[in-house]
Amino acid sequence: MAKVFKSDQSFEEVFKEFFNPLVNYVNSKINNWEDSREIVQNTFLKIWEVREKLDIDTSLKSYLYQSTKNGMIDFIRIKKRNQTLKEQIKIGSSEIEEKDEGLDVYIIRQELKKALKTLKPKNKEIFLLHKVEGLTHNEIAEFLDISVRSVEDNVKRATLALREILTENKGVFK
Amino acid sequence: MKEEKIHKELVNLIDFKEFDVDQEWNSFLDKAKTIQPAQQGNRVEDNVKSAPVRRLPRLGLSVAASLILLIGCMYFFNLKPETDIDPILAEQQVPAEVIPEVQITDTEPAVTEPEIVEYVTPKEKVIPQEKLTPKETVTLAEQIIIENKPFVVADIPMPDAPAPEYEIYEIGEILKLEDGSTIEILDVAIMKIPETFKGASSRNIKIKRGNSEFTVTKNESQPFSVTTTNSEVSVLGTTFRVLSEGIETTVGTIEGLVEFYAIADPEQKVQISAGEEYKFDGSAMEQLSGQVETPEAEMTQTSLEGLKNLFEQNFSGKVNVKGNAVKSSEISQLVDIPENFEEFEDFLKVIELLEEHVTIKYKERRCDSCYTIESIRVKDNK
Repeated sequence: MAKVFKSDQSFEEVFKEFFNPLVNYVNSKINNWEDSREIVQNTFLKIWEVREKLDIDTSLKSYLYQSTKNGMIDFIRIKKRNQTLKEQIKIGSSEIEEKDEGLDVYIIRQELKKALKTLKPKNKEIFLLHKVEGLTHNEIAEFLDISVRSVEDNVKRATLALREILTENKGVFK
Repeated sequence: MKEEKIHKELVNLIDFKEFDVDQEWNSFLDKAKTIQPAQQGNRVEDNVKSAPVRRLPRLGLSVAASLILLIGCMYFFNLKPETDIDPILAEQQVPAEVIPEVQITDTEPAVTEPEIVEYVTPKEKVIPQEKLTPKETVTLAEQIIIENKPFVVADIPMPDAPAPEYEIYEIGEILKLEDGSTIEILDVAIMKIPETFKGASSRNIKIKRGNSEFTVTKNESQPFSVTTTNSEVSVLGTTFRVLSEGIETTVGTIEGLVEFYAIADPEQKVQISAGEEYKFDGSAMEQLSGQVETPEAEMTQTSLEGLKNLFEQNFSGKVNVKGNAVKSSEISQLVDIPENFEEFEDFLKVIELLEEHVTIKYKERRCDSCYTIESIRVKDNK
């Protein structure tokens, strides 16, 4: 059976790749960034302890996701025992299962953030005004005092660039 | 590539928080270093189990050896002190069979003077490193050094606090066990449920408190039991409820049959059929009534004429109904009868079921289970 982590360096790469999606995933459930960060750190610590002998029969992504989810459920149970914090944690383990949207969306968001950083500032601004703010090409043209054609070109260029980058990055949208 | 997915997630990007992963990695490494010493340079056989022992100073070793000698002697001379331990908690102690036998190197009685002794494990027990997760408690037996080497035992807990063996389950949770059985949590419950029943002679769940409904998959080779503080419910396959509150346990059977007994006095036991409910208050069993809802038999209606015909058809001619048993003026009167009337083979049982609604006069005939119905009247209170 091949090692999951061939070296500490590969562990570091995995840590850096999945840390933010995992923290954002946990935060979406417990609504506390600091606790979310700690849960993910502890999950990685447990894996670190057994990294040399780790033997998993699923993908690494699924393993990390399930481990983090387990850590989060344990965390919620422990917190619930503490009466003073009872009000803060209203979600139960069954609700986590019901409303769970998985880790993929957070990986996608991370990849999108990375991809957006590669766009030129003007290009990014126009693209976000159109896709996120919902402004039409005409409205953007008026707002930025540029031609409609220029807006269209910028949106098209940004879309193509994002598509290219995201396809290269593990095919999260495939 | 799905454009709409990108668009949807672009809108959500505002909620996506990015931590500095380089900084997080450094913070992680700092934490990892604190747990490193327990693992670095360990061989499989002397992993973290023995690390606390190796760190003990010589004086500590001597004290530990003396303590072991004392404990060993107590077991050797069967002087185990009597304790009043909760039966559930007692199981968490070191099982007697894994406590090593004492081999005293000196033939003289070693009671008065402590000396170095060797313990040999009854069975070599190699615990793979991967099985030692931080959640596990390291028991006395697990700290034994492998390969029959002389060793010193210290009942020192692992640096990581052991996770509680009992879990809290919330109202409404439905737990599916690996054997197909289910547990519905009716009130917050504290239970210990094994991860697997594989290899076990029975399927056992422990409850400290709570109210749960068990629907058990039948498996005669692996009986199912639920242990509370001082009592146990044993079943093969059925549905029942267990309410555990301190020393009181109430068991109600919904389907099938369960056996409910006191752990301290197994003679004190009852068999609980569907619809029955018993409470054990720590000293005696008490039958309760009307606590467990059982589905009532489905009823239907028929006329007295219909009932008369059913009697004649259902009992293979052994039950006759006199021509004037039902008054002509009452022949269309309706009466409640069980929907599954045709399934009843025992005439007397049917009479018993119907007595609430009708008065039936009958005579026994000479042949076995032969009756003649003389009159059928609807009761006035109907």
